[in-house]
Order: sequence, then C-alpha cells, then structure tokens
Amino acid sequence: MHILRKYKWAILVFVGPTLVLYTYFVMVSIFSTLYYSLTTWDAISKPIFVGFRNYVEAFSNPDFAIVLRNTFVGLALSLLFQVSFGLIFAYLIYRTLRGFRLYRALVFLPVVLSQAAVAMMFTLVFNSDVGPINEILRLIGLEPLTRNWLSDKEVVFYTVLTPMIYQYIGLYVVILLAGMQSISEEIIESARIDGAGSFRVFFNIVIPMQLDIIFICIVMITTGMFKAFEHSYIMTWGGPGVRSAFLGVYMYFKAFVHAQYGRASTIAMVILVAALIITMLFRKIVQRFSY
Amino acid sequence: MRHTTPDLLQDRSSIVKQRIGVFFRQLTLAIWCFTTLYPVVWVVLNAFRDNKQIYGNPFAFPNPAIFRNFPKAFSGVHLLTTLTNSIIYGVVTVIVTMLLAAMAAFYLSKIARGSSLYVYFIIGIMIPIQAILIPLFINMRNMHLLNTRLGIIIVYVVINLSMSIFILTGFMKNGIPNDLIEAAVIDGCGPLEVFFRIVLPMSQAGIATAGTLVFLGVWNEFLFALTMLAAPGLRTLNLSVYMLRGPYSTDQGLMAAGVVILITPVILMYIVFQEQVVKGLTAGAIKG
Repeated sequence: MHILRKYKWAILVFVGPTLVLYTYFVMVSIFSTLYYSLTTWDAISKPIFVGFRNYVEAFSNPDFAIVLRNTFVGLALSLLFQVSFGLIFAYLIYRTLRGFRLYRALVFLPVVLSQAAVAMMFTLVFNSDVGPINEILRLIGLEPLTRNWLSDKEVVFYTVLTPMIYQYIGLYVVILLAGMQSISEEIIESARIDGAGSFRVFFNIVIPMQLDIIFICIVMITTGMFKAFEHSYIMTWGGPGVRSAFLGVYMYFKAFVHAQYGRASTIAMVILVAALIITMLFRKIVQRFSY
Repeated sequence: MRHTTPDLLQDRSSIVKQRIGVFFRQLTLAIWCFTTLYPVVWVVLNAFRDNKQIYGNPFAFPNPAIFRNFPKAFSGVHLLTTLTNSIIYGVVTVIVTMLLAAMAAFYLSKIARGSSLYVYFIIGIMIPIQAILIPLFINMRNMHLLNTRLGIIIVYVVINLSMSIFILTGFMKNGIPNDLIEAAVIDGCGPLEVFFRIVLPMSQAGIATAGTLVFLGVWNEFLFALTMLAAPGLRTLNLSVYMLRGPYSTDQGLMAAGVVILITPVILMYIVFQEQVVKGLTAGAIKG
C-alpha cells in the first residue's frame, strides 16, 4: 500500500528476521544437500568430491530400484484410493442432510493423529498373533490367506501402505467436500430438473468443477508419498531388507544408520526433484482438461 | 402421505426411489465411519486388557478391564518430562512462528503487495523436509545445538514459516480493510503501531488457524525429533511412545496404552476446537 511504502526500514523490521532464518536454514540447505550429494562423506572428515558417482551408483543399486518402485506403486495406489474414495465419500456426505457434521467429524479423526500413533496402531492391528486381521480371515473361512503381515516379504509393502492410505482419506474428503459446497445450488438443481440423476450430476458437474481442487489433492498426495517416513519406519523398519521402504526411509538409513551422508543426500535430491517434477506434470495435465 | 396432491402421487415411485437412495447413503457412510474408527477403538480396548486377554479373542471386550498397562506406560514414556517437552516445543514454536509470519505477512499483504519475496517464501511449501534434513542436522551439530531445546525449536520454526506466511498473507489481504490502515497512518501511526494495534488484533482468526496447524504439526512431528533429540530428557511424547516398541517387546497392552496416552490430548483438542482444527489442517487447500 503506497501510504506505507515510504517507510523503507519496514522491510528490515518485518521481513528481515524471517528472510535470514528462511534463507539460511531452508534455501541454503537445499544447495548444501545438492553439494553433499556429489561427495562421499561420513559427516566427520572432509567431504570428498566425486561428481555424479552417487547418482550412478544409486540408479544401478537393486535396493534403490525396489524403494523407487515402492514409492511409485504406493503413489499410484494412494492416488487411486484417496482421490476416488475422497470424491465418493465427499459426495455422499454432501448429498446427506442428516448427520452431515457428525460424518465429517468422524472421517477426519485419523488426520489429527500423529503418523507415529497410527503406525503403532496398525502394528498392533496387523500383528499376526493378536491382531484382528488374521482372526477375521479365519472367521470367514479364508485361513489360507492369513499371513505374518509385518514380515512376509510378499505382502509387507501393502501392510505398510494400508495405514498411509487410511489415515488421510478423511483429509481429502473434507477438502473435496468444501469444494463441492462452493458449487452453486442452482447449477445442480437445474441439472436435476433436466432429469440428471445423482450419477450424472456427480460425473458431469461435480467432478469437472472440482478439477482444480482435485489437483491440489494430487499434489498433496504426491509430496506426502515422497516424504513418507513414519509408517514404514515404525511398522517394519522398511524391511525385510528394503521391501517396505520408501525414499524417505531409505534416505534416513543411509545417513543416520550407515553414516553415508553423501549417498543419503543423493536420495534427498531425488526426493526433491521427483516431487517438484510430478507436481508440475500434474499441473499441466489438469490445466489441459479444465475449462 | 395423506395430503399428497394428485400431482405428487404420480411421483410416488420416485419418492420411494429417493428414500432407498437416502437409506443406502446413510448405510454406506455408517459402515465407512465404523471402518475408520475401528482400529482406534480396538487399540483403546487393548490398552485395558492384559496379555492373556490380548492373546485370547481379539474382538472381546476387556473382561475384566485391566488398568495396570497405564502406570507402566506412564513411566515407560517418562510422561511428565516428555509431555512437558512436547508442550514447550509446541507453544514456543507457535508463538515465534506466528510473530515472524504475521510480520512478514503484514509486509507482503499491506506494504509491498505483489512483492516477489512472497513467491520466494511460498516455495518452501513444496519442499520435502528430507531435502534439508542433513544440512540442518549438520548445522545444528556445528552450532552445538543438537540435543538442545533451542535447536529443535529453531528447526520447527523454519519448517513452518512458509505455510504460516501463506495462510496469514491470504487472511490479511482480504480480512483487514486498507481504509482502516490508511486512516491510522493519516492519524500519525507508523508501521509498527499499525501492526501491533490494528493488524495483529484483527488477525486473530487467521493466527488461530495457522497456529493450530503449527501446534499439531509440532506435537505430531517425528523425523527431526528422532534425529536431533537423543537425550532422554529432551524427547517428545510422540517419540517416546514409539520407543515403547522395542525390537523384542511383545507387551502389546503396554504399546496400546502408550498410543492411548499419545492420542488422548489431540482427540480432546479435536473435540473442543473441531472447526478450528479442521480449518487449520486443510488451510493449505481451502481458501477463506
């Protein structure tokens, strides 16, 4: 506002401290990570510059391939379930007058819990001796499907992914619900008068008008998956091997367990770049289809 | 249906259809809410069962209800210390972050609108914390701030700045009329007076939203606590409950009680400040 512009010192007082903290601890740190990613370093002696060797090594490492695949399969399944369930349940709640607030409050509950708490909960739920999952399978006669959910390398990835998807469906329901409430009643009413049923309204009006909000959800799910840590770390330590590890967990082990800070920084850069690229890619796709 | 007009009688089948629709909607939502809450309820029930009961029927109610898991968990997580730590980190982080972010947001929304600094600050929202984890850790180590309250609070402040500035700038842009500020300036107020006398008091709702988000974020934070707080006396509640899950621990009741201790304060907060909490946690995605 021009009237306050004359106070040139205002930028120093109001933005100065934040600018210094943010620049030093966030922005400079990213460049430090980039530099470390080009070195071999144990965080004690001096970093040795090795160029892109860490990157070459990472992409030829079978463990990294598994972790990368976990991350992308996890992302695909999260997008599939969280967006579709988010849309369906948001629409169901949106069309419901009685219990609207109660349903919204209940489905959002897991979102406020810490990821560590949810991971602990599911460690107990999936426990093969005392958890209800195996017991339910036995009760409905599917005994052969019972597993050691937390250690069987065929299923452990899905075991860890389950709470990751479960915990945040409610978040996307509430976000999409808020979007639906902003659609004007008139549009939906006139469509109904023209004879459109709930399904038609859902697919032809609600979804097209929600594309920008769906895009926000996609970005949140994507960045969430690339920094995923707690569920996998707490439930299985990413194991057996790296069977249930995600990039965030893999990076943590490289740095803080194996003291390979250079290689860990390489993984961190992969996380950063992948998150940024996928975010921008989805933005392009959504822009093409929205009107 | 006694007073239906002939006109509406024709639509009887569609009314029946609508009723069936309502029934199935309610049923689906009820089943889904049950599924969502079941793991939480099941763990809470387990906290009141001893190992003998836990290894029996997993669906049974605690019979009799056992309470000894809780004293064990209280001492296991050093409740007094870790709860105090979590509250200190949360409250101090919220105060510092809100002050810094509100000042920056005031500048970006009222003094230099459209400043490219805004974009610079907002980029931080897209950056995964792993991208800065190692340099932050090294920095803190070199400054001798590892294993200190100050160190972890600095980290929590800087990782929450971007989102708080984003929320507060948006809030101030629309929530505080420019006329009011202009009038104050004409009356002789400088930027500092305008900020502390007008902007800050009028931003309460925005600060409550951002503050809730930041507090819950700190309360639930795990990765930095895990890497930066090795000293038992400095750990957060979140971290120490995780530590109940020792590699060889088979005390399921103890773990369940730990989870209950950890989630009770957040659930209470959610029940009391529901609108505020929902608003805070969805603030990045929903405008207004």
